[in-house]
Amino acid sequence: MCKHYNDDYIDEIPGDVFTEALYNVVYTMTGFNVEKKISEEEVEKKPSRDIVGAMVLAGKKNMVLVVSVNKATASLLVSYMTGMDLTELKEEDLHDGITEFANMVAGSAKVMLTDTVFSYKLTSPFAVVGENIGIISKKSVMQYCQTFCANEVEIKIQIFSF
Amino acid sequence: MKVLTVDDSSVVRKIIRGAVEVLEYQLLEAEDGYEALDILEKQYVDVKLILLDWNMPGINGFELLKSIKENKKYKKIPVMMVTTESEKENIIQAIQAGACHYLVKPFTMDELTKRMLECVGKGEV
Repeated sequence: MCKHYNDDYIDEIPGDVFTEALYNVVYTMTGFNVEKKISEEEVEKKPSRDIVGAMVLAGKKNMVLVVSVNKATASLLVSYMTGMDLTELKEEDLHDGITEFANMVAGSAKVMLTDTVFSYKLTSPFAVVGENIGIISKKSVMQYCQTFCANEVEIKIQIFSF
Repeated sequence: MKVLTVDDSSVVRKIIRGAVEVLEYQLLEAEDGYEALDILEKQYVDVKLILLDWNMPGINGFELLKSIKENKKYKKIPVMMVTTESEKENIIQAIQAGACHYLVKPFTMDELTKRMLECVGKGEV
């Protein structure tokens, strides 16, 4: 899969691969079938992003994967992943869970991008935590952005390429 | 019967705890390779399976696998890699170093329990 990503695509972002990876991770770990959100207005109805899981993807083309969720989504995802009741979850569980989520998406996409111009090494994933966090980059940095949802779950992924 | 999981993610350790409890085994947890070696030194007689992440701070999972397999006391304990590293090269390296299975994250609970049982079966032969 994705062998068509040769040197001619170096100035693009393989968003389709990360989308596929996200579907796979969410479904396998939680059973949720998320779908792409098309309307930005719809996306902005729930603008809060409280936990960001991120990883630098180091390769010929360096990228940063960012997975952003609000606390309610983080709680649902981690609860389904671990089988723990929502009331048992601590803040650290949510932070660690979303960090691990980013790790799995990066790992899942990595295997699909092996032997392409976008092949990369995994680095240590990390979380950024706060209230309504936004990630802003310079205009020269390419960005892929997509929001996915299923009922109460809403996940935003961004790929920054530089 | 005790299972040792070595993973720097507390959420992954909780997921594994769920599977271990389904199988009615007891779970020992380590956040990194040093803590794992410390636990093994004290409890290796009771540990019947080790689950290792690959990317961890300090000693990575592959280095830890090699040191377990080089240690006379621990080398017969089956080791399964549980990791996001899914390239063929990693899998071959781990199997050649003595891992009994290689489970790529994300995984389902069924896959995890099935692989654990297979590893334990291999370990008892």
